[in-house]
Amino acid sequence: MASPLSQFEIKTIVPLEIFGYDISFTNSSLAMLVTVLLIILFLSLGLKNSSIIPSKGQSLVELSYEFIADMIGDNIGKEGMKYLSFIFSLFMFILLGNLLGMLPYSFTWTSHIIVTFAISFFIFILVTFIAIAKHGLLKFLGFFAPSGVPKAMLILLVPIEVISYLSRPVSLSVRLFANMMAGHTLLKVIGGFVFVLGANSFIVGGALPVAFLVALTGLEIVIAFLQAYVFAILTCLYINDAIHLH
Amino acid sequence: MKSKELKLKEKIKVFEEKSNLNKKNHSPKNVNVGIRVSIDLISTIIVSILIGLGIDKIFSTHPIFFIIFLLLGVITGFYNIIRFMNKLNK
Repeated sequence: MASPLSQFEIKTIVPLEIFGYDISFTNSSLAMLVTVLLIILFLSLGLKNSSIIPSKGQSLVELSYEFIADMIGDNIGKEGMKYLSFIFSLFMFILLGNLLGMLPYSFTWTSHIIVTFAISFFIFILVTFIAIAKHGLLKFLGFFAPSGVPKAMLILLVPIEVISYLSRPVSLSVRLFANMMAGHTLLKVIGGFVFVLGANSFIVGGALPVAFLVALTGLEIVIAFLQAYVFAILTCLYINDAIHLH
Repeated sequence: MKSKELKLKEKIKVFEEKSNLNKKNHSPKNVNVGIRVSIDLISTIIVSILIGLGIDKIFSTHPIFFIIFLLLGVITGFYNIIRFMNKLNK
């Protein structure tokens, strides 16, 4: 029987090499490509015959748009609306990537830390850039020294602020990666129980683990939504910090 | 009459407090707090350890900055948890 971790293996589909770097087209890249195609399909089909009285597909698209718009309005305010397209595409990309991984025989690209870390590191650089461009370098450095604190305490507080600022991309990426990987590994382990118990016990059989598996699949779908939501809302909070330095 | 009005006002107050309480508990910001806080703690410590090891490698002073930044990381992690929880209870 395959190991529960073998579902995360990267398999090369089209080998490619440029300047000594391995940039092969893998099953992970294929899953990302399918995710992007699904987003384009979802949005273009939903908005194909747009009317004032929305159809089912159109109301789904409008629902997701309003969800993100409300999130930005609550967390950043009106100045944040220009980042709407960025946060919307980020949310849809991660959400559909998570949901795509729930299909049998597909690949969950959000369960690889290098992918989530690349996304969150890009957000980190963007947020720092916004803060410096908006307030200037000096005021940005002042962000690490909270006002109204005695000068002796600054020796301890400035390193604390700097470390918690630097640990943002790590915690953002680890949160998504750990949730997805733990969930999918658990599903595979319980799936192994179905086989073992079904072969060895004639009273309960594989029915008990199958029932458990159904419940866990529902939970996994909830987690897929939740993690995409948490990722988007934390990005909102970081952009809010960059816009309103305090 | 007056006592009735007062009673009604009291009831409205209790109801408003209750509905506020419900809103607070069901607001989506409170979702997944346990995992969020624990991963924050771990990632802060890992990042600060990496910073310490990096400084040690540059100045070849092996255990000194590693220990300093490990302690700083633990302090930062717990400080952030306290700050987060205070914000949550507001």
